[in-house]
Amino acid sequence: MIRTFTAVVLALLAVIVSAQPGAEADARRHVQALAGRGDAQATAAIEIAKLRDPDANMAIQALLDRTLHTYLDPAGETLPVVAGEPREDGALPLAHAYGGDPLIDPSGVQVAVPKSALKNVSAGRKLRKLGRELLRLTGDDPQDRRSAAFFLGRQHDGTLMPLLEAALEREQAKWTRRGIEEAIEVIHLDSADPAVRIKAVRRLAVMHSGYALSVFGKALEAGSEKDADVAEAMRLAVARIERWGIVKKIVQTTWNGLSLASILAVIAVGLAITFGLMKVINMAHGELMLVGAYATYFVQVAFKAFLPQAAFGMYPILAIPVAFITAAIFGVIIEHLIVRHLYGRPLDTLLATFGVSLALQQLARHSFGAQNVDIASPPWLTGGWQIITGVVLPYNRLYILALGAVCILGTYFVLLRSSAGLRIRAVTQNRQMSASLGIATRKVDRWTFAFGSGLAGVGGCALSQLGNVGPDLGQTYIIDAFMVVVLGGVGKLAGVICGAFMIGGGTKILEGVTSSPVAGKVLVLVALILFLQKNPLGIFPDKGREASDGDSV
Amino acid sequence: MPLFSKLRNVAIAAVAVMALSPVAQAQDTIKVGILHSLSGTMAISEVSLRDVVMMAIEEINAEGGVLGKQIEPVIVDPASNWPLFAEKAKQLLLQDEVAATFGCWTSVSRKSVLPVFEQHNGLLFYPVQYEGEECSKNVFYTGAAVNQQAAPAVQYLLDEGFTRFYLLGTDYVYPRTTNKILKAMLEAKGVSADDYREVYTPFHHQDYQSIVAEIKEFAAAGDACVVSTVNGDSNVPFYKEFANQGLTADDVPIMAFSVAEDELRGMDTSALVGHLAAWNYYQSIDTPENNAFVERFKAYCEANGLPGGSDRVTDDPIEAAYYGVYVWAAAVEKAGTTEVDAVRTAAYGLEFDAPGGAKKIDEVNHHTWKPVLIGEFLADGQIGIIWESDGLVRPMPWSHYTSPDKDCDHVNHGGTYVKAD
Repeated sequence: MIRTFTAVVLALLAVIVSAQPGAEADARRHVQALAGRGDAQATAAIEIAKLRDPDANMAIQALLDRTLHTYLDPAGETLPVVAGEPREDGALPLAHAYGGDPLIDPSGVQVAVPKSALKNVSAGRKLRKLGRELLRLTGDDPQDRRSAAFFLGRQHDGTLMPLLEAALEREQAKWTRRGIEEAIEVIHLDSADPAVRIKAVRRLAVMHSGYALSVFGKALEAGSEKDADVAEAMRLAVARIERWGIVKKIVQTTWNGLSLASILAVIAVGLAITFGLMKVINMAHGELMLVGAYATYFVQVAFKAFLPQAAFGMYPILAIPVAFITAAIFGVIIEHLIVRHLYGRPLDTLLATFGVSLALQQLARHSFGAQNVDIASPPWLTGGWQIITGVVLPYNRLYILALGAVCILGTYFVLLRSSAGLRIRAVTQNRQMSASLGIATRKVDRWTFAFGSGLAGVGGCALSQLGNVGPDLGQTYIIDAFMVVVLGGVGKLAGVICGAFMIGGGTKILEGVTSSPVAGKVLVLVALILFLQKNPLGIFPDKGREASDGDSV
Repeated sequence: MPLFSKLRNVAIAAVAVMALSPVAQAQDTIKVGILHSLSGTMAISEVSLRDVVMMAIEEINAEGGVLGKQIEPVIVDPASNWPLFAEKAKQLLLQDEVAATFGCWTSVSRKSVLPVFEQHNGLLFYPVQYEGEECSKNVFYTGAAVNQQAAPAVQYLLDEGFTRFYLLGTDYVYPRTTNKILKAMLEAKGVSADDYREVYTPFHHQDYQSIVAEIKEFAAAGDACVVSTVNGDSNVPFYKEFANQGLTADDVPIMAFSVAEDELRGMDTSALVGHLAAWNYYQSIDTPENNAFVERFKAYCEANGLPGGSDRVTDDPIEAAYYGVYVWAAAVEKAGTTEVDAVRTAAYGLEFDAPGGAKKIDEVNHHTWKPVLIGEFLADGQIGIIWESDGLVRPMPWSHYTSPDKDCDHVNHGGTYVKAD
């Protein structure tokens, strides 16, 4: 009773506060029409959307939820109502479709009626889609607003114009504004005035509208545009948008290649140490990435369990050192148990580390299940940055690009600018001489292997933001990593970068040209084989005296 | 800590498997084979089928078995290795002399064992949706044929007003054959060749940036959708890239035929929400029978210390694998023997209650009558039903779009035959 009273008071207050009683009367009228039938429903939905009245929007939402009904009240009036969840006796409590206040009978009790006393407002697919997009146009998400505008423009319905113009007026987000402008010009294409049409065609050409391209193409083909000037403008527009398409394709392919190259560099840099410098054909390199990826998973789980929600976004950063250290520890163990007994016996190492690889995979499968584990990207790594129309640089790929640069720079400093690096290079170039100068070569071997393994772990950490983390993760990337190192020239850091760029760029260009990833991959492999036939030592072959028995960086 | 508890679970599972091994069993049993990959890449999907088949066998045994005998499972691990499937199938048929085998996931593994089952007159229950164009008398197909999944899903998209279709798949027999049928269907429905595109990626493809960029361009003309037969681990990178490049389910929905609840267990599903799936069963089917089935499966996994425990979910192939065992048991009871030809004939026209509702084995073509359900991915990794077919759909191993002259009838025509018009 008290609650009802409060509701009534609140409703009254709302009416008093509402500055535009006339607008509210309009809104109620439109809600009534929305609960009607036929084309009037769509018109009413558009009118409601124009009002931007949350109370009226509730009626559209109810239509989408299929809870909008009409109710013939005892006074003989047909009311648009929203039916709530059925009560125990099966009766549905009713609320006004406008505003959602409970429908009160004269005795002050909320009306509840059996389903049979109500008539469900029917809404076809088209109307429901329209209703959904109208609500999205006034929603909170800029991307939603943009795609809603795109949809509404494609309806070629002049009555939507005021709605879109109002939306444009209050829109702040740059690309959403562009989307709404595009929708408005698309509607202008149906104008009776050729001058307006020409202007719209030109504006759409400037916007490089992909939708306009297909509309113009069809119109020109069918000859449906009767005005010669407009048709000419369309031809020019098609040429312009197509030219832009080439530019876009170049930008997109460049970015794709750059991103793939950075991923390849991240996974190959560790291998450049273990395989490149130490000559260990480490088939378990992929599984060391796997270790890094699972370490990332556990950091994420720990963040979820022990730290406040706000800190969650930072887990990928903390995961980098954790992944590095965990993988390095695995590296030390593998080196100590297996690899150190097999230095200088590449085939034995290959077979032994292949065994390690299978064992680690099955260990992961038994410990964490064959299923992938769930790694959620934090908000700052989801979505992307739109640089030009149609080209978005996803944040997770930008993150990997940065991580790749950090890994390579870090490796460069460790190997070429630190005393540890000096020792590593000394041992790999001439083991006996280094030993006789007092360098503990065994120890250097161990830490070099650990360093390479740690970098593999960082690679795994990066990959976790891109795809699956499961027992097969290592297998997916190991071949690519070897390809990069072999192409670049074994033992060269610059080779890793060049190799990654050549394979990454080549794959993406060929994929674009053939528009088939399978063909792209095959062609890159063929090109790689041909290249290695000519240059067996890769892009940066070792030269000079050390080449026969040692390496330089 | 989870590592240790999981290791302990593994140990318990190993003991459980040993307990069920032939030595420990009574002599008077009926052996059946379980031929699912427990290691290698397909383990991600097939382990769950082994689990649910074991559960079905345990349930039937608890009720007294078949023909008064206990069922004794013989588990082999073909390790996601196609030739090994044939070898293990041979071992099951000749060495263990199993009465029936429950197994396979990929079409290539089924094609690998098919000659073995046909040569030695074995009986295979195959639980996964597939591309059709096959109709062996030694196989019961408890998954969907193309006309029970892919074709109605595309019809749904056409009805929703989509006019442009991007057919994206992993490069192997199921997507290629399915897309061949779908293209014929789209042509027949008046969709011109400009308005659909067909693209394949290799297995384990991870880098979807170029493809998503191309989809964006394709979708710029409006009313476009993606029909995805992308398999396994490629899905997460695909959906992530799709969302990151700014495409949404509202603008360009992806209709997937190979992503079910069980695969979603390991996924960050936020990028999938709102996209579509087509299957014949979902865990979300809200009936007392299905809810009980889901609970039983969770309890079974927990009690047997299987990875995932009570977090496990059911999905379409899991349901199909489960009722496959019951169909076989019912057919054996009806035939009064485990002899393959008698069981086969007894199964024709068999009606039964599966967890997801009543279904039927076709009278003549070894496939299963199923409902078609279009679903939408929800934030909790479940799939909500948004459309369902009018009753059960008759299975057609040969699509009338690509093979209008062919049909399958094991009663009157001895298998696949050419229709006399």
